[in-house]
Amino acid sequence: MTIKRKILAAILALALPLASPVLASEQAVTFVQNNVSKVLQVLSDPALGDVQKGKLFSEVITQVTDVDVIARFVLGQYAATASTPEFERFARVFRGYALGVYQSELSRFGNEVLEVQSVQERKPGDSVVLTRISGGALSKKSRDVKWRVITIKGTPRVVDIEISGVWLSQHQRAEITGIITKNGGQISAATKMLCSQSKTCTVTG
Amino acid sequence: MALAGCVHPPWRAKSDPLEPMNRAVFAFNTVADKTVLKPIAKTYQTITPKPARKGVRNFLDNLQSPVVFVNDVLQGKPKRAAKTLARFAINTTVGVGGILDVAKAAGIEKHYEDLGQTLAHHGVPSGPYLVLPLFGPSNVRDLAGLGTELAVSPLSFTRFKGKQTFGRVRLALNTMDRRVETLQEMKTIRKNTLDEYVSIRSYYQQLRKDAIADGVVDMDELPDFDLIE
Repeated sequence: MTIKRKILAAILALALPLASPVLASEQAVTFVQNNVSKVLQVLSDPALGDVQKGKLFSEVITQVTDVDVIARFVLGQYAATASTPEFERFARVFRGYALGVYQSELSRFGNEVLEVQSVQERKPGDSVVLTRISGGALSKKSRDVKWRVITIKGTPRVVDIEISGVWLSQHQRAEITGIITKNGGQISAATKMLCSQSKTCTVTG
Repeated sequence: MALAGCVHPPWRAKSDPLEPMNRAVFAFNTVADKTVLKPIAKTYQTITPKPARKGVRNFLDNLQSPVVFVNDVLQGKPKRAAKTLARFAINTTVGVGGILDVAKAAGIEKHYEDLGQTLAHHGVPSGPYLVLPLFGPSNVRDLAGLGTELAVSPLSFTRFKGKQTFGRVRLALNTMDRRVETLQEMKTIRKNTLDEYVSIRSYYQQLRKDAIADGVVDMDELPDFDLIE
């Protein structure tokens, strides 16, 4: 009995560290399968007008991503020195900009079938899910899209998307930090520039 | 005063110490693109039927196949080299000199390799980012690769009547066709960009990294989201 228990304990000790990452990766795969299809459906729905589509897209993408985490990431080294009000002002404006970019980038797909090809785990709670999008507007062609999924407070969230070899959040970080460094480390310069791109934005404080 | 050129201003990106010069060349390229290249590319797109443009693209890619093959070999990728060789043999013969991509229909997909990628594969660092007049974004490693490829190209050692004209037509068609391919992409970039120069630099650096890795994500190279770097 004691030997059996020891063997069982040894097996569990070996199996558990291996099992948990697999579960986290599976969670990322399920998350992408269930939620990204919803995003693509909204973008390809011919019954929706532009305003309605934009509103619905914003709602769905908010459930899929965590814009605050992405906003902090795109600030790069400047995130450490940002005061809370400064960050909040930036994050508010960045949200509108990021939604516009995601909508524009993902609008090239519509009515396509999303198929998960593989998943790679970087560390527990941080995976890259490789999908192949085919059919629909892409016709016979297919396109590989990678989704970086991070578990934030127990919930998986997409924080970066790679389309045709370019990671969007990394690209945005290059642009945002470029503007801030050029303006002597002023985060407000990036906030103003993002704001100038939006029709509805005003920067206060 | 003499030291002024050695000081690295804090606002410049580490990979782009020559930013002021690059921005000047970029401004020149943008004007050249808007006034000459883009209108020509759009006209070419309008007057040339899509199948004809596809034939031109296939032909140009087939001409580049020997370069791709050599780089496959230099990178120690025998399977990819065999694919390139098979594509070249099939398309040059059955595909009427490369105009038809018969190999693709047979399931042999095309891929690109160049000497810049080969140098990167063997650990040569990229060096500073460069914007070349008319050629666009590059870096020291890719420029060295391109220069060497042009110097040792089989075309440099062959002699035939109309060689110069052939070279010029090839360059013109290649440039025009590549510009047609990027018309939509450039429109999206210009629509979403905050700083077009930085945007193009970022795209170039990411795309080269992806091409060097053959599309495989290096998990260790991905930046952290939860840690402030």
